[in-house]
Amino acid sequence: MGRAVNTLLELREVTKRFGGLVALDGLSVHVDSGEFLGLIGPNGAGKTTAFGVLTGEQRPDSGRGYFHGDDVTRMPTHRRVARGIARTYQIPRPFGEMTVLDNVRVAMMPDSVRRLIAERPPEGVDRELLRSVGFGEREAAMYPDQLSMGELRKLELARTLATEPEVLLLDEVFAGLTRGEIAQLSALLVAERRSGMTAIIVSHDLRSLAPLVDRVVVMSFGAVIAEGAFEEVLDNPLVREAYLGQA
Amino acid sequence: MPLARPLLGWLAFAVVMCLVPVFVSTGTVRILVFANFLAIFAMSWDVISGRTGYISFGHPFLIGIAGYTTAMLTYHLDTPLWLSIPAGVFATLVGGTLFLLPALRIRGTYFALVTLAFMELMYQLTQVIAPKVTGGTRGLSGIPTIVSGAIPNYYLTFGLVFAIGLGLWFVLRTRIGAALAALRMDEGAVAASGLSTIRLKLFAFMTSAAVAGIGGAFYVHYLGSIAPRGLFDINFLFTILVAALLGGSSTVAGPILGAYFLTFLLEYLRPYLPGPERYVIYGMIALVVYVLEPRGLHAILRTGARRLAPLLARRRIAP
Ligand SMILES: Nc1ncnc2c1ncn2[C@@H]1O[C@H](COP(=O)(O)OP(=O)(O)O)[C@@H](O)[C@H]1O
Ligand SMILES: [Mg+2]
Repeated sequence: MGRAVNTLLELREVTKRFGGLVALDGLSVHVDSGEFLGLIGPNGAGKTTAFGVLTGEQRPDSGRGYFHGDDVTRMPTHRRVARGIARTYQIPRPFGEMTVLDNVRVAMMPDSVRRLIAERPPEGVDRELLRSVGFGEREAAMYPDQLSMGELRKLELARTLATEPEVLLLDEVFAGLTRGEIAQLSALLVAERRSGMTAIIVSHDLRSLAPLVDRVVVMSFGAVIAEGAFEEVLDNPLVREAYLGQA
Repeated sequence: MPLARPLLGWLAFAVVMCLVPVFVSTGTVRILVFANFLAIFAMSWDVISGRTGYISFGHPFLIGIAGYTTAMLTYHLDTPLWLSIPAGVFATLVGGTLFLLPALRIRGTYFALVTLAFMELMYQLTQVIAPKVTGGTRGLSGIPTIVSGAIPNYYLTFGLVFAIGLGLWFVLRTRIGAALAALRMDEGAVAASGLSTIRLKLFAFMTSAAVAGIGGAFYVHYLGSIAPRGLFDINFLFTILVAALLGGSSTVAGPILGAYFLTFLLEYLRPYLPGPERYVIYGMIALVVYVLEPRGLHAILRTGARRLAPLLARRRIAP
């Protein structure tokens, strides 16, 4: 038998190579329902690649992925998203020629050509989503190239929320943000956590990450080198070595 | 988006175009028939290339499938037109799915080249395989026409332009239009939004193929003949492409506008430049328009109208 019933999303023994480079080396990691997991590790450890495998954007060379206990290893990305796995990108990827509002509207679309043509879009939900990340009418009408990094990250979050996810995969959420923006985004994430959301958060900003997560997993060279509560993991000599090694 | 204004625009377009034959010579009407066909092909091209960013260099392939299907059916089997034309369109739909194969893995230049290869392949096939059936290099002539005379053909083809244009406009102004635009901007992000990119592409390709098929089938029954040389031709392909880009891609009105503009441009250049040099000139004109306004004539007219509207309004108020 597998893990306890409340495991929501899991990678088991996943290996992913890019040519000769082993990006994921037998990685096993899981997140429980309602848990906020911090995923940390030096640059190039394979965190972003792990997200890619979880969403199906990267195909693993071996190993499997599970969602709600179902094997989703071969499930295409759009179906995983429809089932409740949503991610943000380390480098935000908004639709550049669309307003902020239209960006969120795309994320809200049903996956059916017939419905896209025949049904009117639900009214108000789009703006409500934007408001939930702190965007007003002014921002709704702006184009991505007019946004600050903090606003771009909020837009990414709004787009993932628009897909009505069960689990959020947030890649480097705090990178490039001001102190104030970090505080804003943290508050949003705390609210999500209270409402029962599940998340895996990748961040280099350990101080900002610590108060948000229940548990951390430390990766290095494509594998887990430590996991547990924040303080105890940071005291781990392996972790210190991995972090010092990259500096 | 309020409906009334654009619908009024379509209505005005129809009224003007229906009155045109009253005021111009038969020769001009005949040119307009070609412009109508070009408009259909340009609209078709824009659905796949303008909207989704998959640049098709193989449109003559799609047009040719419908053209040859209905030509061969009527020529050899005396199939009635009401059956052979839909059969041609259906065959084009099947051909359109072939475009999906390269589009699963590649986009940009490579996709354009693969579709170009489709056109070239079709060109060779029509001549090599069963030339008795396809008419080989010389093609088939004596194919039945639907109506005769410039003016009836004008109304028939304009009816097609109008019906297809309005139909596309109605469909593409819904969320599907935004989904296809998103596909053009970032396919990966579309998948990450929970949308099947394959299904969206299939929709765009099928819609484009259906329009190309309708245009191709009617074109053959207008000409009364079909031949591979003129059809699977780079100049024909680029005329379609330039019409869409010049008029304004990712719109419905743009390709129509571009087709009329380009047809007349080519026609007026004909006395001075009878040879293929004409195509160089129109290439240059297209380039100038593109540099002035990358969104094409459509956008130029729009901005012009927006600037003019307050002036006209003021004049009306003034005593
Ligand atoms: N598409 C790719 N092609 C080649 N190498 C890649 C690709 N994506 C990631 N890598 C490599 O895989 C390793 C892990 O990268 P990544 O998952 O981005 O790490 P992290 O997000 O932890 O910084 C790095 O060495 C990176 O250079
Ligand atoms: Mg990364």
